[in-house]
Amino acid sequence: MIHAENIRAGYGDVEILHGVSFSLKSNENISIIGPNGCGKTTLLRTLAGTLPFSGKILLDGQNVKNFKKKVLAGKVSMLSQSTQIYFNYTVYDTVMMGRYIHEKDGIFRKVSSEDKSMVQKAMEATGVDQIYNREINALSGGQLQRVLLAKVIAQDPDIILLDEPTNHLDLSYQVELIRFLKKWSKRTEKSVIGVLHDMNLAMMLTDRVLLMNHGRIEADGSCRDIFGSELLNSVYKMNVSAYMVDSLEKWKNIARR
Amino acid sequence: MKNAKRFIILILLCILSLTAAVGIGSIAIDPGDTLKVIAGKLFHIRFSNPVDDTIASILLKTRIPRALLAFVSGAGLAVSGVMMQSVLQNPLASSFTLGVSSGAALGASFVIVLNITFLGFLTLPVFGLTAGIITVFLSLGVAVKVDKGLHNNSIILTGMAFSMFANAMITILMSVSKENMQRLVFWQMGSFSMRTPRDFWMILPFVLIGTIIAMICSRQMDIMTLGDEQAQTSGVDVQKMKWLLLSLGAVLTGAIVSVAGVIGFVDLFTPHVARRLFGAAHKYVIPASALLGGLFMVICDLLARTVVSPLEIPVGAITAVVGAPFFIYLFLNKRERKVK
Amino acid sequence: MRNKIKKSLIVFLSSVMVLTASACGNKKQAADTDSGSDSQQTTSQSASSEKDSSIIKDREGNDFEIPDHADKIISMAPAITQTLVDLGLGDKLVAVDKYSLSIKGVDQDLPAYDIMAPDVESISSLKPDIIFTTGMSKSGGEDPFKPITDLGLLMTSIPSASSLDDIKEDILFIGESTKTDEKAEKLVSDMESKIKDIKDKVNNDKPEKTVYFEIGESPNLVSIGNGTYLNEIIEMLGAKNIFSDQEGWVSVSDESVMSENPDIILTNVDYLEDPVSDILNRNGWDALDAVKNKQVFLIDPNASSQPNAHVVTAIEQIAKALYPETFK
Repeated sequence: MIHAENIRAGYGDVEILHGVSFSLKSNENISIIGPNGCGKTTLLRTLAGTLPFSGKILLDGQNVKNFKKKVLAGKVSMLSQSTQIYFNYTVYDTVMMGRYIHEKDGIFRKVSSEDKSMVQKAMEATGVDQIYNREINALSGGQLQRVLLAKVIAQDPDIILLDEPTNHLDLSYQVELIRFLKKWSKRTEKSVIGVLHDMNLAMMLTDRVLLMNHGRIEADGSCRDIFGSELLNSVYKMNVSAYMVDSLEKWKNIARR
Repeated sequence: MKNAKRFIILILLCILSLTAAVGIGSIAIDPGDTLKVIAGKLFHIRFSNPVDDTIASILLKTRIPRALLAFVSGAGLAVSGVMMQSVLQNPLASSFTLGVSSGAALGASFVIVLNITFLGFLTLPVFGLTAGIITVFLSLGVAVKVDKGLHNNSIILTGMAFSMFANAMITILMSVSKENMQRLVFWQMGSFSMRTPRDFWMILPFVLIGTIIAMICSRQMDIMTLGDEQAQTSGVDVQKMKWLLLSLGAVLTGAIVSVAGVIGFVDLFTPHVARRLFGAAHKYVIPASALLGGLFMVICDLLARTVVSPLEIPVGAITAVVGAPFFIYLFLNKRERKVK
Repeated sequence: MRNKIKKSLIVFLSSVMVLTASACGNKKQAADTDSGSDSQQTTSQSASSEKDSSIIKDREGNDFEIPDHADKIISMAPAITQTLVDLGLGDKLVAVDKYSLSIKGVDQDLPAYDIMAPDVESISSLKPDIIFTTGMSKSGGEDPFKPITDLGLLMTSIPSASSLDDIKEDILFIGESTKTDEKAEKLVSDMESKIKDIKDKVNNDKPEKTVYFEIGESPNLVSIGNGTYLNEIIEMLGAKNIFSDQEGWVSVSDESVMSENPDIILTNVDYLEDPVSDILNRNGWDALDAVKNKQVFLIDPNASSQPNAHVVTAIEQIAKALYPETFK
C-alpha cells in the first residue's frame, strides 16, 4: 500500500534523509526506531505530505504528490508532538475536526450521525469521553495528546502515522494506547506506522521494525531479528540486549494477550 | 441554545449603541426626531412640524454616517483580527503584526506630505490600501524566501520588521515636513471626524465581502488553530489558506486605515471576548467579533467626541485607553482559570 | 506581550506629541518651561557699574542688558523679522529662520535655519550681537538654544503674544534692545491710532455676531479661545467668539462648530489653495447659516498669525467681514 523509493529530504540546506526505501502492505504495522536525529520524524513528514522530498512515494499505486489535500488526509494522517494550543475549543469540537474530510456542504452542514458516532467512539477509545466538554487550552499535555489522537482516529485514514505519541503519557496510558492501536488496526484492517522511543512499546505494537540511523534504514525486519542483534547495539552504542533481556519476555507475553 | 440568546443580546446592544451615538453629541437629538428625519429621507414623507434644518443636516450628513462608519470599521477590524489570530495561531496577533497598519499609514502619509490629489477623494484610500497590501505581500514574500514552509514565526518576524520600517519612514516624513506633522500624528491615532457618507459606502463592501469570505473559511480556520502540521494532515491546504486569509485581512485593515487612520486594539481583543462568550468555533466567532468590534468602536467614537467636548480626542487613543486595561483583565482571568 | 508593550508605547508617545503640539504658541506653556532654563544674558560681567538704563526686563521678565550696538542681528521668527524690517533694521540681519525668507526686505541669500532645530555652531560663528527667538523653539520641552547662551552670546526669547498689549510690548522691547526706541514707539502709536479708528466705526448697537475662527483645517479643526489676541480682536470689535470659553488653541469637533451655528466663519489657514471653498463645501456644513449666507472669509494668514504691527491688517479684514456696510 505504501511504496517509498529513495527518499531524500531535509530542512533548509541540511539533508536529513539520504535515500530511504521501504514498502508497507495494507494492514501491516511497522515501528520505526533509532537514535535522535536519525530522521524518523522527517520520514513521517514526507509520508504525510508536510515536507517536500525527492524520490517517489506511492500510496495505493498513486504518486503521493498528485493527491489533493483532502483526499491525502483520508489516506494518511499524522499525530505529531503536541504543542500548546491557545484557543478554547472543547474536546468534543477538537475531535470533530477530524471529520473535516468527510464533511460536505460547507458551514451550513448538519453534523451527520456517522460523524457523531465516530467522534464518540474515538473519545471512548482514548479515554477522553468524560472530559468532552473541557476546553483544550486547560488540559494537561497528556490529555491533549489523547484528544489529538482521538481526532486522528475520528478522521479514520487508511494509515495513521504516530510521532512518539506516548511522550506525555503515564505508563498505564502508554500501554493502553498501544493496545488500542493494535486492536484498532486489526479491526479496521488499517495500518499504523509508529515512531517510538521505547523499544518495549515498539515490540508491543508491531511485528516489523525499521531501524534507522543517520538518515538511512539500517535494518528492516521482524522484532525478533532486530532486537537482540549486534546491529542494534552498534546503532545505539550500548548493550541493548542486556538492557532488554529481562523485559523482553515479559512484554511479549503482555502483547500477546 | 446559549449562543442564540447571546447573539440577540449582542445585536440589541449594537442597535442601542448606534441610537446613542446618533443622539448624543454637542447637540442632543431626540430619537423621535431621528426617526422622523430617517423616515423623511427614505420614504419621502413630509411632516407637519418638520425637524429643524440644521439638526436634520447634522443627522444625515454627520451623525448617522459617522456612527455607521465607526460600526463598520470596528466590525472589519475585528474580523481581520480573528483571521490573523487563527492563521498565525497566536492570540496576540493583529494587523499590526503583519505591518499592514503601518504600511497603510505610510501610504496615507505620502499622500498628505506630497499633497497628491490626482485621484480626487479616492487618492488617500487608494494609496493607503495599496501600500498596506504591498507591505503584507512583502512580509509574506520575504518570509517564504527565508522559510519555504511559511511557518508562523517567520511571518511574524518579517511582519514586525516591515512594520517598524514603515513607522520609521513615517517619522522621517514627519520631521522633514513639519507643517504636516500635526496631521500625520493625528492620522496615526485614527479618527472618524469629518468623514463623509461616501467613506462609509466605500468601506462597506470591503467589510461585507471580507466577513463573508471569512465565514466560508471558518472550518478551515478552526482546524488551522491546531498547528500547521495537524491542519495539513487533517486535509486543509494550509499554505493556500494562509495567503488567502492574510491577504484578506490586509485588504480589510488597509481599507479601514486609509479612511480612518490607525486604530489599534479593536482587532486584538474583540476576538478574545467573542471566544469567551461564544466558544472558539469560527462560525460564531466571526460574526460575534464583527458585532462586538462595531459596538466597541461606536462607543469609543462617542466617547472621543463627547468626553472633553468641544475638543475631540482621536478615537485610536480611546480604543487603546479603554481596550488595554480590559485586555489585561481578560488575560489575567484566563490565566487563573487555567491554573484551577 | 510584544504587541501590547509596543501599543502602549505608541499611545503614550502619541499622547505626548499631541499635548506638545497643542501647547504650541501657548504663552503660559512657554513661560513654564522657562522657569527651569538658564538666563539668556551675556556672561560678560565686566562692569558692575553699568548705567541702570541699559538693563531692562526682557519679554520673559528676566534682566536683559542692551548691547552697545546691534549691527549683526539674528531673528528666529517671521513675526520678529517683520518687526525688525519695519524698524529699518532689515540690512542688519545676518541670519533668519526659514519662514522669514519670504518677508519683503529680507536678503534672500541669508543663512536660514530651522526654528525647532537651529544649527548652533553656524549661528555662533556669525558672531551676532543679538539673537531673537520665540517660545516656539522651546515647545518641545528642551531649549535648543541653550548651547548658544552657554557660549556667552546674547539671546532673548519673546514668548508668543497672547494679547494686543503683548504685541505692542514686544515691538517696544525689540526697539529698546536695538536702540531704535523712537521708531518702535512710532510704530506702536500708529498701530494704536489705526485700531482706534476701526473701533470708533464699530456700531455697538447692532446685535452681537457670533464668530468661528479656524486656524487649523479639516479634518483636524483648530480654533482659538481666550488668551489669544485673535479672540481679543473679535471681542474688541463687538462680536463673540464661539469658543471664548476655551483657552488658547483648541482642537474642536466639527459638531461643536455646527451646534453653535456661528453667523460668520473666518479662516487664516494657509496650506490650502482655497480655504474658503473648503469650508463652503464641507460635508454637512451647508446647514450652517454662515455657509448659507456665504459669510465665510479668509483673513490674511501672515497678518493674523504673526504678532507684529501688521496685525492691524488682520483687524481691518476681520472688521470688514463683520460689518461690510461700515467698512467698504
